[in-house]
Amino acid sequence: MKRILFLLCLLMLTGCGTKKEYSAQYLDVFDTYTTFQAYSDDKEGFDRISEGLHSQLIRLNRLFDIYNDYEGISNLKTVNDNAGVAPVVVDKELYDLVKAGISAYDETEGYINIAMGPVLKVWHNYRESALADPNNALIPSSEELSEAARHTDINNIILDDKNMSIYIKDKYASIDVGAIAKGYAADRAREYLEENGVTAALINLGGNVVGLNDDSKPSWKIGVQKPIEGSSEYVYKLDINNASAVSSGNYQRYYVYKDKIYHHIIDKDTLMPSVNNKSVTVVSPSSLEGDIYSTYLFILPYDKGKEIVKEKGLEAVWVDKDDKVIAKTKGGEYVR
Amino acid sequence: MGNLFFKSKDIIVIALILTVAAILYACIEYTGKEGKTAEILLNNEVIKTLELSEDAVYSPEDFPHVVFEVREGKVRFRESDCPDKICVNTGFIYKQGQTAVCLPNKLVLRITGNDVDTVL
Repeated sequence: MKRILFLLCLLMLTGCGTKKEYSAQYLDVFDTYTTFQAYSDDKEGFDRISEGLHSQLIRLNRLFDIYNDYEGISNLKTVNDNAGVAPVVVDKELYDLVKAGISAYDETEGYINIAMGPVLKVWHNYRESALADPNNALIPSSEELSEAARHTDINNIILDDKNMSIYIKDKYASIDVGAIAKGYAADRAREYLEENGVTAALINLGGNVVGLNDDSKPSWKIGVQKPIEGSSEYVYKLDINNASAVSSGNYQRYYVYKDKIYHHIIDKDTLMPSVNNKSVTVVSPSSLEGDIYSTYLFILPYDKGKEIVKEKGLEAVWVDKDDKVIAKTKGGEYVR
Repeated sequence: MGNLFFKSKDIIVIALILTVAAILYACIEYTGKEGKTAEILLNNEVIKTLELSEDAVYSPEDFPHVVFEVREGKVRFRESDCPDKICVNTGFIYKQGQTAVCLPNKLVLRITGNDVDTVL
């Protein structure tokens, strides 16, 4: 009898942790819905971390903003406004991000191009007008797009490591870090949590997920969203352990013109929204890498994308244009 | 009984514990599914909990133009005065962990409990 009670006590000990799960949401960063979940000893501890994380994200969001000015900071809009005028000295995070953007260009045959600003701006303006007045939606003419594309040479961006300044040579050129900013921010967010002793947490920056795991929470279950805006149904379930998962999809920012979706990921070869996939999700150690490759794979046809996944040792889930789901993960290949 | 480790009395106790555990588990599973609820959050705070077992219509005090509707165990943003209507277009949600979000009004509707930890 004593032996049984002893065994039961042991079982109870292993079953119970002292930490509880808490969660918070932020609706004012990176133009998206951000969630933060973490295991903490108490609510006060969690709130302190959450506040710190939130202000960190607000700061990065302001630095990477190309539409708004903020008092007392030089952000990406300041750099763009000074194109053809003068180099702008910036904070380390913005400098690092632009530098990472330039290496991404080389890594992806130019498909990720942070100097695509002028072309993306054309699409942005058409999208904003269409969303404000859907009945009068329009798409840009090819002349308008090619004219903008004349000012998208990545070599227009001049970095000065010593002064940590960024200069855009062509006054009609501009930088847009939309394809990589959330990934970079998610990596900084993870560092912030690690520095503050958090070992089990999950951040979802509107499509950029970072998970931290310890023995109390060995993995996080991630649903790959059905590619419909706002849907919380998922088509595939991933387990991540101390890793990032990032989705690029045609349902994230788009408008409709003549019953067709015009989304925000532009193929440099056609200057039009890419058409090969509805979404691609990439699991990788770094969220910046995940952000780069989810966009790159989203643009490429599956046959080419799968070679890259193999070569880079990534895990990826495609939802192709016909809603076929293909997953290449550590668990093997899955097709539906 | 010739068992060296367990005595027959022990086995009865084990059987008893297992039975109780099984009944408890079944209860939790059953009630967990029946008593499903949705939460409405404003700026991180739960401002209302809706029981999905009862059909209802609800508007938060400060948002007379936002209407939530519970029908047949599901819940949705039925109306909203926001420009994009993403929340309304999300439609009915009912699975654990599902959310519908209205960024302009800073309102989040979510089904409590999780099947997955997040959807991306």
